[in-house]
Amino acid sequence: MPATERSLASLLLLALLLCGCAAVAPWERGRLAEPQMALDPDAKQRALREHTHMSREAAAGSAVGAGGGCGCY
Amino acid sequence: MQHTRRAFSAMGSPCEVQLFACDPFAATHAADAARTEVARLEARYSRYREDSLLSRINRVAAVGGSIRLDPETASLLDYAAACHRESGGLFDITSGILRRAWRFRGGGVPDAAEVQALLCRVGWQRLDWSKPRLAFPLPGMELDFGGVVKEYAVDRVVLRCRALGVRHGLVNLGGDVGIIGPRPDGAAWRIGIRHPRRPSELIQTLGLHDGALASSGDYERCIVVDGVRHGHILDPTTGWPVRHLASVSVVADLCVVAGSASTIAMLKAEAGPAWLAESGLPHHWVGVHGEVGGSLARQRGASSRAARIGSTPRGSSASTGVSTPAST
Amino acid sequence: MRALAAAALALPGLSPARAQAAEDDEWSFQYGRYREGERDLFGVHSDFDPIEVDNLDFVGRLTLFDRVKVALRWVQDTWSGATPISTAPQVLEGNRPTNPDGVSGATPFLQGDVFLSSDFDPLEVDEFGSVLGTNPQLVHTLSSASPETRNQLDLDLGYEWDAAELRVGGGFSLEPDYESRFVRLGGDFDLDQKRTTLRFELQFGESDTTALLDHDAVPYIDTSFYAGRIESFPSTGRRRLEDDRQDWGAQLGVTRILSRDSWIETRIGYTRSTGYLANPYKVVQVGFIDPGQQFLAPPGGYYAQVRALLEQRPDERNQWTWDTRYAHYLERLDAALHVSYRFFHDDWGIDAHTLEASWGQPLGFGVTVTPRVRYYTQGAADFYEPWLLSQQAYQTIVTDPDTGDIVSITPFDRRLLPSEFSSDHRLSAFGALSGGVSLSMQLARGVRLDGGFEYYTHRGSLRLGGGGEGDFADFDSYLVSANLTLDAAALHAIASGVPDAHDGHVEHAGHAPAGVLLGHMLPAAGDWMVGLRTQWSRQDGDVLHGSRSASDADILARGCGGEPCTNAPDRMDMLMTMLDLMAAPTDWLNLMLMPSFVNMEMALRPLDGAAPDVHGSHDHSTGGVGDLSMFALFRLFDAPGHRVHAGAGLGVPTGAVDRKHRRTHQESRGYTHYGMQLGSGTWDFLPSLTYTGRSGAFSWGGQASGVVRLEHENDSGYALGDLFQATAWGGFALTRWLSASARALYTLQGSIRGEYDRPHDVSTPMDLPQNSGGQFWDLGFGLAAGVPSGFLAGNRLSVEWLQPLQDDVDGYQLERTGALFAGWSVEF
Repeated sequence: MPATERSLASLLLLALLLCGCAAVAPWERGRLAEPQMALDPDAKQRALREHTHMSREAAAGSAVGAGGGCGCY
Repeated sequence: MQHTRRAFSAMGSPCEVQLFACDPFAATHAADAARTEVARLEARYSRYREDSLLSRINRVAAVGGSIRLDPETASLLDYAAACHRESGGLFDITSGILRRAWRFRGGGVPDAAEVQALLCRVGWQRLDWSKPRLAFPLPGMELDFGGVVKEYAVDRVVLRCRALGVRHGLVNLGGDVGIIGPRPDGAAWRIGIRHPRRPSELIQTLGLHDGALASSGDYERCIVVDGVRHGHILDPTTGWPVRHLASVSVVADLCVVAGSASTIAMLKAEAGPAWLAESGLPHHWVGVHGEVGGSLARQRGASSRAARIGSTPRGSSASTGVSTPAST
Repeated sequence: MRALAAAALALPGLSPARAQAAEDDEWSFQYGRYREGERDLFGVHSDFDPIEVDNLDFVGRLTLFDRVKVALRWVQDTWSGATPISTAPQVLEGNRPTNPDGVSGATPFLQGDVFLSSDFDPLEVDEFGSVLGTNPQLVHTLSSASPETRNQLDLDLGYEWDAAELRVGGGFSLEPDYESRFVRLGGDFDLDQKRTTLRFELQFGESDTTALLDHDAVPYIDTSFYAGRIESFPSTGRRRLEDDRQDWGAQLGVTRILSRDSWIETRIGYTRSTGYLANPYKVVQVGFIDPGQQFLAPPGGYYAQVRALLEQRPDERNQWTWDTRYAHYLERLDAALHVSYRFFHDDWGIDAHTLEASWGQPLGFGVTVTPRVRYYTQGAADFYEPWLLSQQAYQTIVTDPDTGDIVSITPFDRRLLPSEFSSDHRLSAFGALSGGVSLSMQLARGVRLDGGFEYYTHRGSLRLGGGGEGDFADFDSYLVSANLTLDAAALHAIASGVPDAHDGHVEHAGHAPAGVLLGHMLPAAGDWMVGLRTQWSRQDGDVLHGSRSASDADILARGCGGEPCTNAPDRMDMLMTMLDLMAAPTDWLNLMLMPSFVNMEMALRPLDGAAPDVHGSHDHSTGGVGDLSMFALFRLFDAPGHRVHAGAGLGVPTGAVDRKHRRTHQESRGYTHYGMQLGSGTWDFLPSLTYTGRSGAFSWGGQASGVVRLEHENDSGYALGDLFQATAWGGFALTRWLSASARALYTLQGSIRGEYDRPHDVSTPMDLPQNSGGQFWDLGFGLAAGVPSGFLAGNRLSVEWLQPLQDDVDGYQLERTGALFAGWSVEF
């Protein structure tokens, strides 16, 4: 009995170990470190969106940040 | 990225540090720093060393004197005070003296009078702690940081490694595990929880990207007398070992919190599972009769719940095993 | 439990994670396309394409010595299409069709006569002069511009301490008419065990405008206000406005972790701009009501002569912004809700509000989807006017009653007009709503793919509180983007195990010089390679016929077939940027995907003895996405010191072949020169055979490759000729990591088959298909550097200069000056 259970547990253990990319439950990560909780989850896409908004709206992000350049089309 | 593994012995347990770092020198430097930090804390707070700070405090306590504490020890004392409050008086760093009645390297059950005598000198409320001065109005007391220092060391090592630029790795000091960062490809570290009765088996495996895992159990340094297991976690109000839970494992952001929570749960005995559930921390507990529960417990069918415990106890040191492949 | 956690945090050295996770080292490539919908011209069909922008964005971030951070960024925008130049009453017919086929011509009609009612509303009048009624409808007047490319380079350095970070950086941005230089300084400070972060940013920028005013419209624009800043070129009729501006900005922010599930950030910013803040391509149309000409007016109404004036804006602008962002983590869904609000105020009278929300939802398997929505509303600037009326004559001409000669011309009194005016819709009152979704896929090995789409509508009616501009200014647009990010640290976890690193020497063998494509196969199954390559080629100098220079008379007579040429090509530049993505599914097979992006510029010169060119335009440029190539490489032979592999590729015609010249006056000039199109337009087969060898520090190789067009004509009616190339090279390792190479190249290029199937202007030899193709011999010199070990292992940089030895062209073509290849790649 112990032998069977032991080998079953070992097999399960092996299976778990090989499963490196299993979806992990939320509590297994630091929440604020989650990529979607980052201060800027998609910085480059946001930079592009703001660049196009800036070319059509008066309230450009203050000149700070994106750098100069007009590209105002 | 280079994988570095440093195994050593400290605080009476097998320890290891596993790191992945781009620069081999950084990895070596971080592993060395980890060992140094653990050695430093052991030198300060080990009750087995005559020259440790803790021994000096206890010498002062024995004669009922008072001592001025440094900031680190002071905060550890504050933390112990918080644990005492949170546990309703069960977590008590003055309860170490009760160990004298239980000689775990042999011998049987102590007699009640012996335990009662020692109980008179147990109790956090009997200390006079006004930072930074600790005074012992009642002579003959004794402090034991054993329930805090190992977990505190894990957290210190994790932060030290991160400060040295290591982003991937883990620290395991005798079963108290802290994650420096996930594996380089982003996958979690697989951590196994040791079965409390079958030391070579794991009862559960978790994936951790971050945070810490600590466990308490009745299988370390225990004696079994007449088929009844007596663990080393002693209730400071009765003087006797607690006897409802066989092991508790808790996951938290910091190892000290995980460790205290698991110890407090063990001390609360029957009230433990409910207290753990209310705490909101992911946890896993095994009862002395084999019942399994907690937010991390996986239902593996009736067989695990009905399992009866084997009778042969085996004293061993590690409460959790870290089962990860040795190489990339 | 909170008490325990709080007490634990009080222990020395234990503190929670910063709200801002450190940016990981990474290489990131992004392509974006922005396209606007057509403006409503109320029944007039415009042949102009709406604005279209292609954006390329490359960023490399590295951490050196544990605390020093370096970031290098290159952005390129290529845009083309029509924008509004002004706004006018519809009755003026600014977008009037001029050709019988009803197509709106290139020259916007900025001048004209308008009849107004007693309330100054525009009147619609029929050809007999009868008033039909009022028509207050306004409409944009559109004008087109040739494609323009902007390049920007940023460099940022940062230093990290335990609880603080300092950053310094700068960069410049270059466009044909605008140059900008900027520097910035910023820092973060962590407090309260990193629960609170203070941040500041300072920035200064200086920009120069060197704008060639719209040469079709400029004869009709009054630029007298800018007289001191405009330089005229009588020979070409061009006028150039030169001026500059300065921008200072400062920002202060606080980020605070509120709980383990949420954080909040608030920032205030101030920007001050001085100098020339207007847009040189925007005018305001002014109706001058000349008291002396009112006999032409309808009864009770007015008669106005409309003229266009370059817009005038204040030479100072102070802006204040206040931003707040909040993020909350929802445990049950593992999702993050982000909400942000911005308030903007400036001294031009504009107040604006922005409200944005997004929901980041991981779906498992490394995929995250993020829908988002945004609402924006702004008020109009104090000096915004769609168009103006002024009760004075545009100019008063006094003639001598006896001779009829003009005695004096008195222009209008500028003081009777507002000192600032602009019809730029960016300064009008409107609201905008946009919604979009992003998708992020995290693949193993530190590779992340992102895609995003956003649809945006600009509507006067969406303005908060009403009062927005009329619906003539409404437009829609969409933005789509794709991004590939490589986490440098994760890559090199695997790269350090890359085989082929013999004794720490970089394996230069098996790598060909920078100008050779497909010279290298990945060593083992499961390997990946990502690279960026640019090729800059120039043609400059004489026009050749065969292998000899041709004189202008020769070109004139025979260069353009039966018709005389007007111009000869003077210089042509091409910049092609290619992204290489290569993977090895097995040991003997590699697959490669290579999207490309092309910019081309050509300058013409008039031929001696040719008729003057009425079109007057001598510079052309095109730019945009080029063809996509896909390859499969097969390892045929692999022995120590010798390797042979063959490749079979497919050229996908994603590059445009229908680019046209900019319309001038009332004529469409049709398709641009064959060599200026962005792709081949046909599906092509790309075979190759490559041999590489190595012995000690020496390496060598050869390649035969070709392009076979699989179709006999593309959508524009022609097909490029087939191509055959043979090249051989030798290399020598100068040090462990640096090697040099020399190469010989022979190219045989077939001529273009067929010709454009629609009218196109033939004024230079490049407009004829027979002036293409030939045989070419080149010599190449290159250098390559690779990183053998350490955390940058697997990275490789190479450059090569290709020097033409001999050109033997078919027909008349401009000779080649050379080509420069530069490439970076990382294998992992």
